[in-house]
Amino acid sequence: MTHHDTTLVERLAGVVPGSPIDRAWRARAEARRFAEDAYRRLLHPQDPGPISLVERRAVAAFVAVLNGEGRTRDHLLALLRETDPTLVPLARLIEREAEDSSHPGPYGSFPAGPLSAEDLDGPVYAVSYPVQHELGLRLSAALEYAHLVTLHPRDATPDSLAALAKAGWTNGGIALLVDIIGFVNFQSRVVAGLRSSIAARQPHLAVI
Amino acid sequence: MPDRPVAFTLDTPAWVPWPGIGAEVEALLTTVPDTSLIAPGPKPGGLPQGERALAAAAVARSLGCRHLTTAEARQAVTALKRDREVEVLLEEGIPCPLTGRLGAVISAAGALARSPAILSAGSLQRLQDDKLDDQEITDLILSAALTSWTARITLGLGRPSDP
Repeated sequence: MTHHDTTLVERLAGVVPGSPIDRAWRARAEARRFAEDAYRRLLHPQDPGPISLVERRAVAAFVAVLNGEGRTRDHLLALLRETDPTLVPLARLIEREAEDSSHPGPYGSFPAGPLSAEDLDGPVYAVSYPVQHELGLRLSAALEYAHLVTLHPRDATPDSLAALAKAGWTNGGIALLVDIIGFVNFQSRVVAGLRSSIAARQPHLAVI
Repeated sequence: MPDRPVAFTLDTPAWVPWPGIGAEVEALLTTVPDTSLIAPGPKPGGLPQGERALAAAAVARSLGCRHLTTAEARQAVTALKRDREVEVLLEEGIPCPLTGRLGAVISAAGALARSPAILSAGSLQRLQDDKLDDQEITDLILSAALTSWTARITLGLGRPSDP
């Protein structure tokens, strides 16, 4: 695999080369390489296969906005816009849909029993008819699934996959879709965690 | 959903994909991340394996993934020999009443499992008070983040295979 001088995580987290956090992060070379390779493989694919580049980046941007980590959000919204100049309105719509449906997570229900005391209510996202008209059935179903798996994954059922299949998703596409959702959840957390670690070492700097 | 009691335990429920998506999931599972990616390099140091597993279990427990919670909790018990503390995490979930170093690890991992994920100055201070260094805190972040990825795949595509 290629040697990565700096990875997306370092750029978004603002890791200063040679700093203690940089050394600690780079010491985990395997995880670091895995993260960068996943970013390339999922969001800069050489062959998009069963899920188009626009779909990949639209879902990634949506999940990033739901997760609320500012740098990851800005980067993935920009990546969607840069895919094609005509996508600026789509990026704006994705951003608005995610903002309007966001809710602190994780929430959801357990099967009835001792864990029911831990059930937490939260919104079930359903794309409105006018928005569905703009996004199309395929991307609408993908965003609904991305919202579920990001914010209340314990509510997932076979019906969640059936809804994707009904909207035209193949199994191969679904497998890539859930990997993209998982990856952005990972990315948002690594960046949030490392940024906090870095900020804690510089108490005189405001955390933005 | 079956109407039987469901709890988080150390008895591993295996995982099965939802009907109809088996073959594609098999292919995906070969590329799924796991916490072995945080293997210590040639240099010593870093979060001990039992605490990496404990952080992963806390995230899986928070998200509601019984399969991963059990798998990671069993690793934590084996490595840490602190059965009671791991049981408290399984039973109580997040927030977890444990104190001390293991409590600090669980608490920070639980905060990173949330959306939005937050590692507060207070959480970091607690980790430092319990003698976690930069490498260990970085490993904790990675363990929590990787499990946040993997648990979404397991929850999104299948279920525990209870008898």
